[in-house]
Amino acid sequence: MKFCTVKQYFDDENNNNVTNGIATTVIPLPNKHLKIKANNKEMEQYEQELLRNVMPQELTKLILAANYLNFKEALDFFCRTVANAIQNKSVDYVRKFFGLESDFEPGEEEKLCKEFAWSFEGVDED
Amino acid sequence: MDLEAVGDLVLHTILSNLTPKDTAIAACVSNKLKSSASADILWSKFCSQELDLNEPIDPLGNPTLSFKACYQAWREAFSKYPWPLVMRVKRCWGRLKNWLSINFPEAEATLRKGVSEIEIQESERILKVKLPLPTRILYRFCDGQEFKAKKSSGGAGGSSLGLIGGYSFYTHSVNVFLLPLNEAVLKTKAIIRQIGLSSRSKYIVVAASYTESKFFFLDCTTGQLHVGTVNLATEGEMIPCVPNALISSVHDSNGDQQQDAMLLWLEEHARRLENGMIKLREKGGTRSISLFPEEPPLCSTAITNGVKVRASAVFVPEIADLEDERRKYTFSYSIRMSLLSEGCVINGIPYSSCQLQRRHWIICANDCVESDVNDEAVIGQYPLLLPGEKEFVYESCTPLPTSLGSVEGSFTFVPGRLVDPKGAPFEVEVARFPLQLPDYIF
Repeated sequence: MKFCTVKQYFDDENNNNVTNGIATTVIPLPNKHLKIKANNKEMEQYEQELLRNVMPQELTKLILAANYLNFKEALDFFCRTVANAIQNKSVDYVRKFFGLESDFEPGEEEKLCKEFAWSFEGVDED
Repeated sequence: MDLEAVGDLVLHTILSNLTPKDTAIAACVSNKLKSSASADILWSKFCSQELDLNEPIDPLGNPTLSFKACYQAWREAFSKYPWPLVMRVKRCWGRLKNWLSINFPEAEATLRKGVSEIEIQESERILKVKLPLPTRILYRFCDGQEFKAKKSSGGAGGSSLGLIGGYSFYTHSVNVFLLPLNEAVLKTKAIIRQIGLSSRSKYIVVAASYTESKFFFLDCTTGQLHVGTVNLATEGEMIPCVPNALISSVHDSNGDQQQDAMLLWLEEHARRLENGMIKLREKGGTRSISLFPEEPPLCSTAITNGVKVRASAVFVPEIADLEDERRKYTFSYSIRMSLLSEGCVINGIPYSSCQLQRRHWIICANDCVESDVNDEAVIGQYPLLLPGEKEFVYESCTPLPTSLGSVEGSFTFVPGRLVDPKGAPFEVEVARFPLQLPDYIF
């Protein structure tokens, strides 16, 4: 299944959706995934490494590539990586990570923070 | 990273990997994230995983409009406690209530709704104590049992619905209830005054049997649970009920390893009920939780010529006398005998009944024979066994100078009846069963 789409990509030279660099990260994934599927700890370490080497902007492209290649395992993996990246972080950190601005009405954000007061303990320093 | 580019499905996948806390933080980021993070399917998963809830019900038992609102309500109601501890306590009560609803609904009906923070603070003020954290949360979920302390005119005590259960032998009958907080306050004041436990001013009574004066005290400083011995009234003598090494951080709201004796004790009790180590017993038309073990290694089983004998013992702390070298510990044992449906078969010849004539009973303390008795009957009775009938059960007790010992023996049975024997008497084995001071005392 996966190899069909990849082959198609290589055959289609006019394809601009996936740059070369991304391909070299995404495509070796199935082998790597199968090899270390049994070992969760290794997967975690690989995840950490990937996170260090890859900028958040790259993640967008990686996800789009995985999506285009219909590569479910890679997509899940990248989504998990993003989730881990924003684990135990503050609202501002998450905002910056996604490049978002607060578009709430005045006072609405304050209301939300009060509503979710229980979630604000023990958050990492930015 | 660019959320617009990756689309809503990917955003949902990302969010579904988050903890409740991070999902909540995400909801405060922007309108788009708030909308995605509010998807009730995310919160229904949290309610299921953390609170074992399949329907959105708040801590007071009222339905909420969404799983998100439900989860919020729970977090807010218990905001002053470490959440992992809250989940653990909820799970503990959940297991107990679940077992009761299936096996002993009349006892489940006696469980009272949890108390409020205000009621806890008031009780602490009156008794001048600070409850250990796990115990506070335990009371928030369930305020002990509704009970009637008055004995019925039948003299049997009228109360067999104790969550902790008990045992009975000869005239000694025990059934332990968990006290509601306000009862605990009254009982504590009465007993401390009566016994003069001024050195134990931080102890509160949390469980009791209203027959036979069996009382459980929670030490609010250390978090340990103690049960009174026979010398409670005169010396204030007690025995710890839970391994000391397991108790930790009972007043520390910053860690996540808090466990006091009350929580450990109830969790152990739930375990024993779930794995069938202890079961309901019906006696004289009344059902109660019996503390006599039902499974090996504490319960032995032997079958001889179709006669099945099961035997186990329970430690009786309220009769223990730590000052008496010879009779330090007392154990009660329960012997259950029955005739298999094939009947009594001796050397291939079947008999339709058999009757007990004598017993040979050997009690050991630390492998040394304490008593070796060869006598007629059991508790003055000569049980007649018929095939496939309910077990004949009797209880007795023995003192022991050590915390470890054993009982074994045999019964002499006669095929047919004693007044009309159909053959020669034969020996039926009572396989050895242990007498052992347990690590958890109930």
